[in-house]
Amino acid sequence: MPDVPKNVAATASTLSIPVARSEKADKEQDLVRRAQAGEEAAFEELIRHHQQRVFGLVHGILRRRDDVEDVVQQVFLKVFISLKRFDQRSAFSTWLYKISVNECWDYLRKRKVRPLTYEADLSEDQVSRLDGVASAENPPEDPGQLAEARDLLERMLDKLPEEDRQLLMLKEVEGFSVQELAEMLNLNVNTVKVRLFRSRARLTDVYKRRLESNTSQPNTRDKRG
Amino acid sequence: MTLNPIAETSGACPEFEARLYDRVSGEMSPADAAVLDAHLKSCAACAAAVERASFSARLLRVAEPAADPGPGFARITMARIRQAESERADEKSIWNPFVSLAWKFAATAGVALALVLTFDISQHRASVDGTYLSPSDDAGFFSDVNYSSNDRDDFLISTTDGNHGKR
Repeated sequence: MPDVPKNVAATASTLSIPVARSEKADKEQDLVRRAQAGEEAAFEELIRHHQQRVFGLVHGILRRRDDVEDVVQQVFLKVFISLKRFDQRSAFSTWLYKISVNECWDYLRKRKVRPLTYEADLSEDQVSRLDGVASAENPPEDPGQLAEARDLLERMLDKLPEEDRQLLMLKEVEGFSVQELAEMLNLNVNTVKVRLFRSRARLTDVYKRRLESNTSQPNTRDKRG
Repeated sequence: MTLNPIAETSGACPEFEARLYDRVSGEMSPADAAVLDAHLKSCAACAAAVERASFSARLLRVAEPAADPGPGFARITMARIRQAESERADEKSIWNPFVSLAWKFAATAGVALALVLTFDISQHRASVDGTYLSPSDDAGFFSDVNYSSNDRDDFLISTTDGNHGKR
């Protein structure tokens, strides 16, 4: 048995995760090379590996559930066309996410639409129900209540600047890491963190402002009655 | 009652905001967290901002991530890619004869232009020197041995600017 230095042996167990990551990266590089050589099965495998995250990314930016599938397919078509130019200097996922972000912005520009916006403000009843959801220990289990809570949250997110809302959705909801966000948006990691921190504080401000507004207004239904 | 406008900043010390985010999102080592907690004890603005940022997690927990597109998505996407590729190939083959013809026209026009320019320059030089081309000078242009030199002179005189020629 070869003589292994103690410090190497001691760190062998901690190396298991990077080794697993490296194997995954090697496998992906191999898939990319085979796809570049024109092997369609390899490209289909790449789609399968990344489709969930690209869906999350596009959904986080567009918010329009109906258009997400179309845009994601368009992303993979563009990737397929330009795959031969990809030199593997960055990770395939980083390159893919950048294409996805650009495709979303192209889509919004071509259609001349903003990501989904809510014109109407929250009603008094909605604010009280949202207060109930925020105060509860766990999110509501009833699908109807959950759907309403999601709708209310979307309306509050609408009050944030578009880019902050997207960052918040991509990080806190779709699960992208700060590093991934920084790479795909060409931002500094610290900038992403600061913006996320401010966005989260501002979301709470929007919520508290709605509550204050609700309690400060006279009860309109009483007046009508 | 007037409501405070929503602040552009978090109100926390700007140099701490990135680390405060790490703290709120639970992505900080216990040692770094201990250092930051010491700051939070002495800075009310940062402590308040942390509280606000932390509360947002209660609101965001109901948000729904994108649904899994399902196992058939990759197959459907590949079918769409194949269709798009086939359409691109068809489009290319429709335009190919026109593109080829256009290149031939461009090449012919280029050669013709080069000939005219060369001819014009040589004429201009000849007129500046006070002499016309001798039959031997233009032999490269008119390789037809049956072509009479008188005809050539007439042709040259008619095609060059009269003001340039000196008799």
